[in-house]
Amino acid sequence: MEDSTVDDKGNDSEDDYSVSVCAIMQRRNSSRRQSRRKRRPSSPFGVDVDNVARRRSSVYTTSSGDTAISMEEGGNQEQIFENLKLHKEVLGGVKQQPWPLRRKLRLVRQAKAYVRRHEGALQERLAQSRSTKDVIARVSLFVTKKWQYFRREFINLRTWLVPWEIRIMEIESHFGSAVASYFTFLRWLFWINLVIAVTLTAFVVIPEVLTADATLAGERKIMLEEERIKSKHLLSLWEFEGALKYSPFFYGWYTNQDSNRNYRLPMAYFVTNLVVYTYSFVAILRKMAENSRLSKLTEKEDEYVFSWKLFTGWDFMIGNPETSHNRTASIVLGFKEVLLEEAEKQKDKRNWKIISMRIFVNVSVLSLLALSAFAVIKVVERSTTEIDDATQNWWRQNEITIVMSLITTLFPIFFEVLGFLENYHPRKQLRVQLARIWILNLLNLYSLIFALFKDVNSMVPSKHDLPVNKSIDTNCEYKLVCGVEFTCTQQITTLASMGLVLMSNITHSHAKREIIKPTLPSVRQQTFFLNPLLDSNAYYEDFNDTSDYPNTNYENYDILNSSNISYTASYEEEDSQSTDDDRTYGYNANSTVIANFLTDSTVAEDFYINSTTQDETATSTIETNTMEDSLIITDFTEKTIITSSSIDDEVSSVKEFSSTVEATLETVTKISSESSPAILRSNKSMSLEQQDLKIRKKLRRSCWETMFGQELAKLTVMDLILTILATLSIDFFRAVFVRYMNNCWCWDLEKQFPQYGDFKIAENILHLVYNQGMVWMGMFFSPGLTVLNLLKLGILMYLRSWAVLTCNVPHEVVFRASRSNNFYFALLLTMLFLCVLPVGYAIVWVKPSLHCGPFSGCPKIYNLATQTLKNSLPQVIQRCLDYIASPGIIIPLIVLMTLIIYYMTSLTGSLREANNDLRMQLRHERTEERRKLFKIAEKRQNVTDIPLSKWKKILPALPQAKTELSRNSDITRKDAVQVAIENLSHTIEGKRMINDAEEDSLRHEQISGNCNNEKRTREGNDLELNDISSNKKPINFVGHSWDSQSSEQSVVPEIQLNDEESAHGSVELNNASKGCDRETT
Amino acid sequence: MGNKVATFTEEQLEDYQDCTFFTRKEILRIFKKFRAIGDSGMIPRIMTPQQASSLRLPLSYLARIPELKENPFRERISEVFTRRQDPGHSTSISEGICFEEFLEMMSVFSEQAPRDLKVFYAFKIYDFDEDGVLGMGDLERTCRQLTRGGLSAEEVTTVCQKVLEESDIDSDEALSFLEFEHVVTRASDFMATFHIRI
Repeated sequence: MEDSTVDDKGNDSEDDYSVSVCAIMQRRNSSRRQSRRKRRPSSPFGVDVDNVARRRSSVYTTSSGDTAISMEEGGNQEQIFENLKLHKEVLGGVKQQPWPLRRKLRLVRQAKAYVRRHEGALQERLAQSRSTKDVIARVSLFVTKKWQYFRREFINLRTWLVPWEIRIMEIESHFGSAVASYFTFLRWLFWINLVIAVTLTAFVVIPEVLTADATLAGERKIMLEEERIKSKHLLSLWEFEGALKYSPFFYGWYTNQDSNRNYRLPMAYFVTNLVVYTYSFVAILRKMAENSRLSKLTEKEDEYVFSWKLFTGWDFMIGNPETSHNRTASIVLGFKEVLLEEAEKQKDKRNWKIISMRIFVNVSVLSLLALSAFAVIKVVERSTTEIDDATQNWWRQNEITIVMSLITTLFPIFFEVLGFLENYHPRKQLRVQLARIWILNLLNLYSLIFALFKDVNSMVPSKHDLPVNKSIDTNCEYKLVCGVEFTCTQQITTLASMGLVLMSNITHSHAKREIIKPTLPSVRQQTFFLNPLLDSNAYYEDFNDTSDYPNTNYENYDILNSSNISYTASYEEEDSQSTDDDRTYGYNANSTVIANFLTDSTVAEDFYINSTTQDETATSTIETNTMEDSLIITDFTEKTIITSSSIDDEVSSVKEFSSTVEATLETVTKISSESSPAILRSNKSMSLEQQDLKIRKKLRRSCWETMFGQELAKLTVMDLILTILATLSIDFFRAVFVRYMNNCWCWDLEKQFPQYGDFKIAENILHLVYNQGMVWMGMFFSPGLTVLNLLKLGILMYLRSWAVLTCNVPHEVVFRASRSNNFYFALLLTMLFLCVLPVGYAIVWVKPSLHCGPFSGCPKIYNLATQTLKNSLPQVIQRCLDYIASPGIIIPLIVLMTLIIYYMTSLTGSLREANNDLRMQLRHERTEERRKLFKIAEKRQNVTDIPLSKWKKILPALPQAKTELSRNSDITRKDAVQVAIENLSHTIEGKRMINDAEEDSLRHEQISGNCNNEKRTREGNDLELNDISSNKKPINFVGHSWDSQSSEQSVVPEIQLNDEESAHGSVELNNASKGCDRETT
Repeated sequence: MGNKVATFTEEQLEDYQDCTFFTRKEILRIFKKFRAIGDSGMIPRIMTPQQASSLRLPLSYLARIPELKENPFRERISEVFTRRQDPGHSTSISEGICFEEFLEMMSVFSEQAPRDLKVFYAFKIYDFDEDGVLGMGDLERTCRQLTRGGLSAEEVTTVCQKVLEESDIDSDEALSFLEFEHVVTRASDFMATFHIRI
């Protein structure tokens, strides 16, 4: 009430307000309250409106009804307290008001003065409440402030941490959202690749590098001498030969042995790749889901595109000229984009010319696609038919890469030209072109892949004639039987070296099993070195575990290598010598010794002697038990081609060994830990040198997985280089040329022919998708490719953004990228799916190479996993799994899933329909509701003049305020208008206005205080509402429309407020009627 | 600090706190800022509270605040916050801005200010001719200032027509405050952008 006087006073005369404050206060405190009331009957309600408005707009809620009541009571403590409360509310709420500061200040001072005055009276009550309130308020204020501050800082930090964000924003402001979408996509891809690369590195590459046993790897990790020479040459690096081929970059380098620390390397390779592929799928799908959710949200908000751009486009926080320039540019672009959209909506012409043109374009695109597929297949065929040293030149080696890169670079240009003829909307044109280029790329990749697979198939059978393969096939399971089989075949002489490598692995594994035998210590002491070197007529045999090969025809060997007996003898000598020793033998296989014993056969003896002399030096290390036994197996061939390979081995029992000494020549080198891997490797490489180079070369080349990886890696790199070149030539040099030559040229270079380049979104997006597809395809065969790709994406990011900002101009027709950009992701997803197919084929159908990679020896790659699973699971579960994997389950499952998919699709369709209907309905209702509101507002204007003596006081007295204010100056009128606006902004006010317009009979009903009544009366007015149950509906909508941010939450309180308000209203009515009664009396 | 506190009385600061969304520290900071935008000698180092609150700076000085400098509606903002002070005397515009007005402005643009308040002032700002509605002329002017001549005349007109099409519910060729509020409160980033850091 006091508040009200303050207000009115303030309105009346601002200047002498402060002077009159005291007087007013005094008057108020006096007992003449009622008379004052009579004098200015309307004022309370004017303020009341104010209060209500304030309450609505602020968090602080007050009930105006309370004050009205309190005014009626006497000036007791209660009432003063109420007044104090009211003043405090004024203090709290004043800052929410859109008044000039001066007016607010006056009000605040007024209120404060009052509070101060009465504080003494109600000290005990106030002191308490105030202090606690203050403390709490201060604490909460502090906390919220800090919280807001930290949140803000955190958000700032987060945006700062997002790489390239500023760069992208800048591009977006200059080139529009479509161009920026490319960069956002690129950045997202970068994240995905980062995750993939890190996973692969952490679980495959690093364990392999750290724990894998190089000696067990066979030929995987060693280069031929011939290769070694050129290994660091640029050309071989370029072709991913040499050093890169024998690095963790490629499949072939990985061993098929578990590491000695029990890390299952092949298994890890398999599982990690599986995980990475799954991750790729999940990541894309999640992003798509997120996008579609987002687009659904934005779709709903799409109603006010222009208004929002106009009214909320400017960011008031911009304080940097550069940013502000960007912002302006982006706003202009945004307007242009939406204008174009609008224009496009209206343009819909069915034109025969265009249609025929489209048909023509499609036909030519198809023929171009066919041409490219044909070219790729031809090239692959040509390049793989014969690789002769004579015809091999740089062109022949790289022709696949070059042809494919050329196709991917040139054809899109044709497509673009053709696309212009079609006369689509730019966005549709973009999509169509995207789809075409995508098909082109996919076609290329697929024709490449299948041509290569064909190649692989022609490569594999060539080795099937080697009998050893059979045994190797079973060797995957590490069964001793294989060894037996091997010996039974008696065809050792025909063994290829590769087979022997595997054989050595077999023996190794076998030996390992026997380590547990109690005779092991004695084995350790039996240290022998088999001289791997053999001249043309020396034959060696290398089976140490003769007990496992009972059927071995030793005589056969004896006949073959009669000359070996001497070695055996000497070896036996050695044996005795060594046993005489302190039972610890170490052969420090230093390089000189190895060199010696490689020279010719007689050196072997020397070596033994040498080694015995070195006993003293090596003993200590042997005692530490850290030495590795290495068994060097030599084989014999009729052609006197001997391959020897060394393996780490723990040798089985001595007894067996010694008993077979006569028949077999065995060598066991015991190399102390001192004999570093380097020596070992040199040992190996030297022995390998003796292999027939031709065979080994062929074997190496037959590692098709690595070849595959190499091919894709080459493509990736070539693609990057072509991109850089194209960017430089097409964008940069052109721009430079146009810029500087324009002055001295016959025509306007900038406007006519070359112009500046514009950013080709379609090609670039597709380029990314294609690149990613290559990586996914090659990832399994070359883990390093992911890292390479990461690098490539980083380079691309910088290159493209630089090129765009320096030498491109915005596209003439700017169009908005579709909000969700799900199209890109759909392309990517399809690409991923299609790229996984060949890899899956390779895993499930193609036999892995025999001598390279982690899966060599398995019939199929996936057998490794299934085998492991079988070994680790109990029988029962295995049977269950078998059953689950059988057609008995699979077929019903497929049928079921199909049905579910069908059901879901139809469900989605109907839901979408319902959704659309509801949306339309909602919009309609909302508009209707608002129309009504405005109508009421208009009506109110007309009604103001009608004298409603009693009623006026009761109802929120806008008209009164208005009439009263009309006496006052212009300012106050303005304020009144504001007040009116505030009133209008709330549903209750709206309702009241309706009431205002009602007739007296209805009012009487209302005074009875029934809120239902009130609603009904309103219903009577609202023609559209037929149902009582629908009463709340319009309120809902109004609430919804006003509180857009949280419609659900706001609806309920709004309704409650309604009820509450009506209750208050009724109370007020009662009070007012009382007052009026008094007045009349 | 002591110096600055002395500029205003405790009571004044309290009142300012009650009237704005700032803490006393922030108010003092704003005063410092206010002092900084004037020329060095313009605002005396020591002055009475009365002086401090009523001393006026020319409006053009507001451009020294970077946010306002770049803002396309700079003039309009300063007009809104100064003219409302004394609508009776139109001369007040030329007199410049005093600290209280400045404080009020910053308060409206502060993060804590409620949406209703911001919307109200936004409407004021866009209402160039101050006739209480955003007519075609207001919209076009807004659009032109916002785009700084980046759009052609037809485009501006089209944009404004589209705006009216979208938001003018009672189709009186102008946006009333209600319609404006209806549109703006539904924009997600209005609160984030209608904001000046102090």
